[in-house]
Amino acid sequence: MVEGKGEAYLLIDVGHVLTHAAYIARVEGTARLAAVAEVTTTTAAEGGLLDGVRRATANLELLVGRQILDRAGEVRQPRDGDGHGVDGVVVTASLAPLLRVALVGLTCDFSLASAVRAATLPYVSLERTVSLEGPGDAWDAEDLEALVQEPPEVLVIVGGADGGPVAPIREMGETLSTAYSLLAASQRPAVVFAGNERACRPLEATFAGVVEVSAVANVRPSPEKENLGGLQGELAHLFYKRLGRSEGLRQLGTWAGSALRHDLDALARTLRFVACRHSLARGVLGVDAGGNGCRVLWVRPRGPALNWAAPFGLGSGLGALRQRRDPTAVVRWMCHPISWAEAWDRLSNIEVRPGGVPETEEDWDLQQAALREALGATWQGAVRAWAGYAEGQAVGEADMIVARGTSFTHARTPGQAALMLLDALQPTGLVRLALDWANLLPGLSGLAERDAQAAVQVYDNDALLELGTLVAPRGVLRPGSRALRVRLTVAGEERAELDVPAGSIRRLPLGVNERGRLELYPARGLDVGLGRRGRGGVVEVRGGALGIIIDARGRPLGLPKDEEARRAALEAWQREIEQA
Amino acid sequence: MRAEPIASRLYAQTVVEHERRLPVPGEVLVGAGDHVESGDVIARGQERGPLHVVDAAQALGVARDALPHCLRVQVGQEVREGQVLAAGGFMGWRTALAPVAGRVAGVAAGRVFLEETPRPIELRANLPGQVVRVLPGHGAVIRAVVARLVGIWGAGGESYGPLVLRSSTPADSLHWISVDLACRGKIVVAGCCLDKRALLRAARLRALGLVVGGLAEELRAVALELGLVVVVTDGLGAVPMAGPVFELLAAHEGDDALATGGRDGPAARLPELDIPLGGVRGPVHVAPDRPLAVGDRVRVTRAPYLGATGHVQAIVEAEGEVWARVTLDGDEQTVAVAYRNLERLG
Repeated sequence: MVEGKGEAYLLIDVGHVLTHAAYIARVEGTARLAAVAEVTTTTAAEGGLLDGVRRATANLELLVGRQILDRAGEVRQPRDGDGHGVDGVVVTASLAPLLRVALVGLTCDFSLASAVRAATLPYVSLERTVSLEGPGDAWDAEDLEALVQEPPEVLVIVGGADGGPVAPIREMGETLSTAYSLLAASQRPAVVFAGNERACRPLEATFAGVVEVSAVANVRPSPEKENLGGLQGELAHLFYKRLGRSEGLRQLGTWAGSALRHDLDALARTLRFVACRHSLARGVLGVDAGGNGCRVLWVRPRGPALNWAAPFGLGSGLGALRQRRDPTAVVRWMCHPISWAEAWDRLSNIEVRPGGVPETEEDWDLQQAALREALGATWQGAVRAWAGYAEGQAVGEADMIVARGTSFTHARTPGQAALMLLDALQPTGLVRLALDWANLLPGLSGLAERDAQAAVQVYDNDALLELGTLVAPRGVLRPGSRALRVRLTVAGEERAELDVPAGSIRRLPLGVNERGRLELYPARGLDVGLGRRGRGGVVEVRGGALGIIIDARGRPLGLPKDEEARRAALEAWQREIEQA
Repeated sequence: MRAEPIASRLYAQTVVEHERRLPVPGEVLVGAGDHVESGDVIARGQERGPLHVVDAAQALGVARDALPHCLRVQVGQEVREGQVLAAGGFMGWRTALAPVAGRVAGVAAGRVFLEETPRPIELRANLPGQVVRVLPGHGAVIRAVVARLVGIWGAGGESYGPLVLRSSTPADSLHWISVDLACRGKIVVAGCCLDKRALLRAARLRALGLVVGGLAEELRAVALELGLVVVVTDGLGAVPMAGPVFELLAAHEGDDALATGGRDGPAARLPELDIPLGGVRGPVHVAPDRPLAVGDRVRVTRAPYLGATGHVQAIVEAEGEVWARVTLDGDEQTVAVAYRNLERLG
């Protein structure tokens, strides 16, 4: 893409429930976020996605006093001398279903392990991994039937070091080719071969007349060497090719005059930039709580971004939460005394009408409790799934957590948003917390391809609402005993000093963009992430809307068993996080 | 922020275009302009059976490349369930049998691939009307003048039959005993359904479907399991049917209707009930999506007034949020409700 310096851009993010639009304009030479708008996503039955996108853009026009659309509802590009129109449009969408991939390989420890790593992409759902390890052709009939009766969209075949024997791959191809020849052409998967390069031609021959085989570089050319780029590139190609075939999304891309990006893929790119820009050695954790499900992304300055998606959401995803068959799951996070049956009744109504908004204190409480449960369940899944990829680092431990999703950005106070994050993820050590308050982060990666300077300026000035720095010791103490003593110094002057009792939350005042020195003296049983239990130290911290948040409730976080005590504790924590 | 257009959930009279499509390509039996009745078959096709893999070489204990010598069937041959596909060993005592009736689709790597016998499928019109468009090889689009209500949750496929009322008020819960033999072959209408026995009886007595204002949350799984066509119009739990919806259904008691349970996925569709109107009564009103306006009949979809109906008195746009002032039915009280928590009825 040609890099240019436009004056105005339109960023669109289409979600399952809501569509967001943002207008970026240059103000005295600096690109800034001028306005954001949010409307309900329109389904095919309601006029298609484009209808909602046009409505969101029309709302932006009202806010900025500029015409972005022409009379036919098309985007005016480029921007004219009167300031109407935009110089570029970036569209991201979470609507596209993930690419369903199955892996078939010879050895679990080598080629298949590398293929799993290569397929760990934000837009890939790994449906099945079949290993033919063992003597002869070790197909399991159940695996084979499943691959045929529920064919994946992409079948990746791996195996063998370069120059190794060809026969096992050819036999694998013969079996699969016979099976897939029985399916209608439209049901056959795309086949990608990323194994022994000598086996490529024989494999292509077995699939001749059935499907075309795309050959890419061997993911494991030798036991010591791994090459993931070829397979990852092909999977990306296939995903975006399919994205272009979806009628609604294709229309959107045509309307915008630019390629559509999957939001998680785009978010991963932006978060990698965030990790590099702030030198976050432990990386950034992106958290997206949506209507259809929750997704988490762990992006480190090096290595692949790890993602995990779970069907637990705050709209149609509430059904999946109910299927976990823990009736008290949501009400345990609620301050208001309602029965679990009543809670699930209400959640069911939210599930079938996800576009509504809470109007009562009780309803807010219920929605936020559901988010804690949904995100918590997603996080547990991610931690289990990522266990093999941490590379010496504690799983999911990051220097910064960025939260997205309407439940966070529409929380009535920043404190409520932060508390939801703390309860669901239970982060430890020193972590910066931020909100993607305007749903800009995915769009910024697309903007960076057009106008890198504008993307960086918008990121620096407008993209994140920094909540502050969290200090959360690991370990549990008796409630009320002194958990840690903290002293905050800003520009050489002491600003605050206090003892934080175990089981409580405290805040220290440090504004957005302010930096300070924080002295930490934890109790002997607690680890604040400075080496070992009881070890204190001095750390540089950045402020935010909530300043410094000291969460001394302990990890793992325990809720009192008694109903009254539990509600009292939840109310106290909500009170404490709102008090500076 | 502008108030968003909202599609109505209730139409006393409108025109619908009902797309009927075979799951697999087949033969379309109607042409554009044809008039069809609900029971007319408009397309036919054959659905391919699932594929079964028989590891014959392993069953016989022979090498994979030796299997062709042991086969007792040929590729393309029809076989019965239990028929010997291959035999080997001493006196041919070891055999690989067909697990289902079907066709031998292929043999590779010591395995026999068996395709179950295809199932013929017939596509019925399910709604009396005029064919306005033929989808070659797939089906047709039928246009009809109907009274329509759009539900919020549904189950099952489609069913067409007369409506029978089993509640005297919109708030009445469906009692299991009132689901009787007279419900057989009919679509049962009730205020709400909170009793599992009512669902079980409706299925056992072969009622065609159930249209209720509210359905107990835990009964959703039961409805799905039973395969009964269910259309929930107002909410989950003890939510009464909205007055205007109940009035419309009561006025059409005995009339034939098409109940559609809706579907999830990329081509998601909400559950619906379409009541064909024999003759067009006055001008046909096709209500386009539009923002709510003063005087509109609405239903509240979120606590604390979930399920209540009323009339819009004013639309207020302030600080990026849109609210409506609504006078609730049966109450002189005017309350403020978030615009997003309202649905238009009519």
